[in-house]
Amino acid sequence: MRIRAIIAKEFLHIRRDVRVLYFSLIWPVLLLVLFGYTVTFDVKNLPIAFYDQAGQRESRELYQAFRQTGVFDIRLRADFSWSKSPGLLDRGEVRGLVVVPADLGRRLSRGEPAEIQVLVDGSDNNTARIMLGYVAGISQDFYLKRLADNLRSLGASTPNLRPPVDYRMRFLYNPSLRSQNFIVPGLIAVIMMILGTLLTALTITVEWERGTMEQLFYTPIRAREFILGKLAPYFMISVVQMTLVLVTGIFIFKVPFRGSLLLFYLGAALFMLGALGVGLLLSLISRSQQVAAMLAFLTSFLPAFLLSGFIFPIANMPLVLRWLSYLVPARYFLNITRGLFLKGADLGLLWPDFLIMTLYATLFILISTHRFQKRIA
Amino acid sequence: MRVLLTLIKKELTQALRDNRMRFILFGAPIIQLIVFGYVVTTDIRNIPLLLIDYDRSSASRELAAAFYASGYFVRVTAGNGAVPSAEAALKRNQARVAIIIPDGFSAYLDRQEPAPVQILLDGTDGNSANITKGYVEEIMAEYSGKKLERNWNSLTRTLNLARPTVPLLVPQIRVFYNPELRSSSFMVPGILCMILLMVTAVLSGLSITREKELGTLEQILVSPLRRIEFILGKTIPFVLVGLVDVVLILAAARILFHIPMRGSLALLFLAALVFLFTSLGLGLFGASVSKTQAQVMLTIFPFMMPAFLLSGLFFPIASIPAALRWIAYINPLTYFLVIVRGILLKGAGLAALWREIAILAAFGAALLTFSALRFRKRIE
Amino acid sequence: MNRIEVHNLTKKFGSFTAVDGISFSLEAGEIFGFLGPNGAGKTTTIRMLCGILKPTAGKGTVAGLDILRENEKIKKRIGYMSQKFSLYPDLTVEENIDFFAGIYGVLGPTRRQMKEWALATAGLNADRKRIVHELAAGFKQRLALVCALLHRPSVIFLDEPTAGVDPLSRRDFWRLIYHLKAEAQTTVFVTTHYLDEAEHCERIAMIQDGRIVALGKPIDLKSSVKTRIYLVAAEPFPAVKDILQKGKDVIKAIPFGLAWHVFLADENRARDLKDRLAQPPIRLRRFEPVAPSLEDVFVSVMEQ
Repeated sequence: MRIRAIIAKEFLHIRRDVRVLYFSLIWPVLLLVLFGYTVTFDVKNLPIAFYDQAGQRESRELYQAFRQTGVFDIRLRADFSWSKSPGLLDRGEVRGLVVVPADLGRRLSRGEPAEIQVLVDGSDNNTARIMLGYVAGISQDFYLKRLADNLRSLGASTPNLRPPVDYRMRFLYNPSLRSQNFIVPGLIAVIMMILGTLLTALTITVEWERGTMEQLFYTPIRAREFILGKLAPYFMISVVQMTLVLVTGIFIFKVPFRGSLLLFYLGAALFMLGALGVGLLLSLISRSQQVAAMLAFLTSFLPAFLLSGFIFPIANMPLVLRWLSYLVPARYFLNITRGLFLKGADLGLLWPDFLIMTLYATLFILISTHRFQKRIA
Repeated sequence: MRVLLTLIKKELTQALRDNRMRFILFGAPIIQLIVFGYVVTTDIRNIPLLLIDYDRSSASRELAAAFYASGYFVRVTAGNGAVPSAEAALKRNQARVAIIIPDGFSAYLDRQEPAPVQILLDGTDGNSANITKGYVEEIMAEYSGKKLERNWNSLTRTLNLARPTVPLLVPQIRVFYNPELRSSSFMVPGILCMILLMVTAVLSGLSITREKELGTLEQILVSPLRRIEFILGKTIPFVLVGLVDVVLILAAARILFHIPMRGSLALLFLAALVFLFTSLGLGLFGASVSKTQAQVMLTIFPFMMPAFLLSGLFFPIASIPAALRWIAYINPLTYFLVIVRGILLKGAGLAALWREIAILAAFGAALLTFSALRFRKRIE
Repeated sequence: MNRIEVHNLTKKFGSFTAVDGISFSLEAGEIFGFLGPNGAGKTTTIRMLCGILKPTAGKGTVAGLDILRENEKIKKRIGYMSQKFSLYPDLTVEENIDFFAGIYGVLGPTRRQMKEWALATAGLNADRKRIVHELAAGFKQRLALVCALLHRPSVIFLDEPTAGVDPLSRRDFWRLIYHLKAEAQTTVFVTTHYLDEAEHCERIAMIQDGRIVALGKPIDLKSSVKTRIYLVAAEPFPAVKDILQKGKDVIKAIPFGLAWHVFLADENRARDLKDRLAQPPIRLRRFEPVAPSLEDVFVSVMEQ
C-alpha cells in the first residue's frame, strides 16, 4: 500500500514535468534516427586540391584515378606555390594537395621516375591514412599498367594483370556494414544507462534537497518500500522506451533481430535494475543535484559510451582500461544486444553475460538499500 | 563592481567547498581526458585473427606472416590443435577476423591464376570492421604487389628480355602537423572542447536554477542587485573554472600524449573564452526555460550527445550526408574544434582562424542575449 | 494513561551531549510546549520520541510504545509536521493528501472521509486542485498539519510549526490545535523558540543546553519568579542604561521595546531605584510593576 502511494506520487511528478517523458521516450528515438542517418564510417567527399602542371594524358589519367576512388572531392587548381599553397591546409580548406609536376611527360618517356608531390593534413590521422593508402594504390596501379604495356610492346603475350590473390571479404552478421545495424544495439545500452542513473539520481537527490525525504522518516514507510516505489516508475518507463527503440530499430532502420525477444527483455530488465541501483548509489553520495548530475554523466554515460566496446574495441585499449571495462555493466549488455540482434545468439552463448548482469543488479541494489537505511538512522 | 566581486566570491566558495564538486570540476576532466585519450582512437591494434592455413606452403606462410607482422593483429590459436570452425570462432567472439587459405593456394599462384582466399570479418562492430577491412586491403595489396613484381621479373627472365625500364611514379609525401599520424593528436583537442562544454553549460545552468529552486532567487531580486550583475555573478565563476580546466587539460595532454602546441596559447585562451561564453549561453538558456535543476539537465543533455558526435570530433563532417550536414554547421563545437586543432596542431594564427572565431563569438552573443532577455521576462 | 512518558532521556553525539537526562510526562489531550533557543536540544528530543533517533540512555514511551524497542510501530501512531512543511510543491493539494493517506495506510471510505475533513479543516476546499507551490505560507502550514493527521494519530509532534507565518495565520493555526484537542483528545507536542507562542500551551518545558530548566503551567511559572519585575521607561538612554546596569540592587535589566524590564529583589529596592531615576538629568516616564512574561521567566531561570 505504501509502495503504491510512492509510485503514484512519482508518476504524478513525471506527468507534471513533460521533460522527463520527453527525455525517456522521445529523445532516444530521435537520437536513434539522427545517428542512424548521419553516423557513418565511410570517408566521403574528402576535399583535396589537384594541381595539374603537366597537362598531359598521364596527368589526366592520374586525375581520373583519384576521381574514381569515389572518396575525394577534387578541386582542380593551378599555380602551385610552396609558400602559399600549404596555407590551404592551414585554413582547413582542403585535406590534401596533389601536385603533378610539369616535367611528368618528359620523365616518363625517358623512363625516369617521376615525382608527384603529396601534401597531407595529418591532424585527422584517419583521413590522412586513407588518403595515403589511395595514393599508394594509385601509384602502384600506374606502375603496373605501364609495366604491362611495356611488356606487351616487347612482345610478351598479354601478361597477367590480375592480382595474384583473389580474396573475398565477407562481413558476417552485417554483410553490408550498415552503420545502423551497429548503432542500434549499442545505443540502446547507452540510453538505458543514462536514463536509469541520471533520472534516479536526480529524483532522489531532489527530495533530500527539499526536505520531503526527512518528512518521510517520521512515517511508517520503510527504506525498502521507499526505494522500490521510487525506482519502479522508471523501470516501467524504461520498458516502454526499450520497446520504442526496438521497434524503431527493427521497422524503420531494418536492423535484423535474430534472437529471442524474451531474452532481450530479460537482459534489458537486469541491465536497467543495475542502472537504477547505480543511480540510487549516486544520490546517496551526492548532497546536491549538481553533483548527482555530473557524477551520473561521469560514471554511467561515459563508461557506457567509451568502455563498453560500443564504438571503440576493448581489445585495443591499454591494459588498465581493459580491466576497467570489466566493471562496466554496459559491456555485457552490449554483448547481449549485439548477440541477439545480429548473431542470433542464445542463452547457451550468452549465459556468462547474463550471470554477470544479474550479479551487478543484485549488488548495486543491495548496497544502495543498505546505505540508504544507514543514512536514515 | 564590488557587488559583482562579492557574488563571484560567494559562488566560487559554494562550488569549491564540496569535495565532490572540487573533484568534478578539476579531477574529473583529467580522468575523462585520460580515458578518452587512450580509448578513442582509430588506430586499432590487437585484433584477434584466426588464420587457418590448409595449404601450408611457403607462399601461404608468407601471407600469414604478412598479417602477423603488420602489428594490427593478434594470433588466435585453437589451443588443442583442433581447427575451430571460423564461423563459430567469430560467433563466440574469440576472433574478429578469420582468414582461410585453401589447399592449393600456392599451386594457383605458381600457375599465375588468381588464388582464392576467404576472409570473414565480424560485422557487428561496424567501426572496427571497417578499419579492419582497410588493414586487410593494405596488407593484401602489398603482398599482391610483391608477387606481381616477382611474376614479371621471372617473366622478363623467361623472355630473355633486358629488364625493362619502367617509369615509376614516386609520390613525395609530406604529412603536415601530425607526421606520426597519431590518433591522440586528433582526438585530444576534441576532448578539450567536450569537457569545457559539459562543465560550463551544465554547471552554470544548474547553479542558477538551484537558486530558483531554493527560493533564494527572490531574495536576490528584491535587493539592489541588478539582473545583469546577478547573471554575471553566476556565470563568471564558471568561466574562471573553465579556464583553469583549459590549463589543466592542456598540461595533461602535453605530458601524457605529447600533443604539440604550435600556435599561440594566447589565441587559444581567447578562443576558449569565447567558447566558454557560448556554452554559458547554452546553460543560461537551459536555466531560463526550467524551474528545477532536473529540468535543466534534461534540457541541455539531449543536445550534448548530437553536439559531440556531429562536430567533426569522431569522424569528419564531410562524411555526413549532405542533407543533414547543416546540423554540424549550427553546432558551436564544430567551430571550436577547428580552432583548437588549428592552433595546437597546425600553428594556425588569427589570419587563418578569424572566421571560425567570429562565428563562435556570434553564436555566443546570440545565445547569451537571448537567454538574458528571456530570463528577465520570466521573472517579471 | 500517559500518552508520552520520558525518563532520564539522554543523547550524546560523540563527546557532545545534546540532550542531558530529561524527564516529563504528558497526558492525553495535553498541549505541551517545548521551549528553548536554537541548538538547545528540541529537535533531537523530538527525533528520539518519534523513534528515528536512538537514545544514548534513558527510556520513554509514546502512545504506549517503547521508543527503544518499538520505534517503528510508533510511526503509525504519531503525526509529525515541521517548519519546512515538507509538502510536494509540484503536486496539488489533493494529491499531497492522497499521498500521505497512502503512506499511512488510510484507505477506502475512511480516506474519502478524512480527505474531506482535511480540506475543510485547512480551508482548502476551493483550492483542492491548486498546485501547492502557489499557496501562501499560512495555507501550506495548515495543509502540512492536516496531512499529518489523516491517520488520526493520538500524538502529534510539531517542530517550530509557525516559523515564517503571519500572525493572523498563526492564530488560526492555534485555533485548529485547540479544536483537535477538543474533538479528538490529540496530544500535541510543540517546539518553538518564540516565547510568546508558548503562552498558547497548557504546559511548557524550558530547555537549555540539553537540560530542562523549568517545567509547568505558564501561569505557575510566571508566579514562581521570585524577583519583582518593573517596567521602566526613562530618558536619556545612556544615563539610564548606566544606572540600570551598574546599580547594585538591580538583578537584571533587559531592554523591552524602548523601555526596560528591570528585575529587583523586592519593593524596597524598587523604591530606591525609582528615587535614583527621579533625579535630573533623568526624566522618568514610567515605573510600574508588571506581571512577568514567559520571557522574563526564561531569563530569570537562566540566571540560576
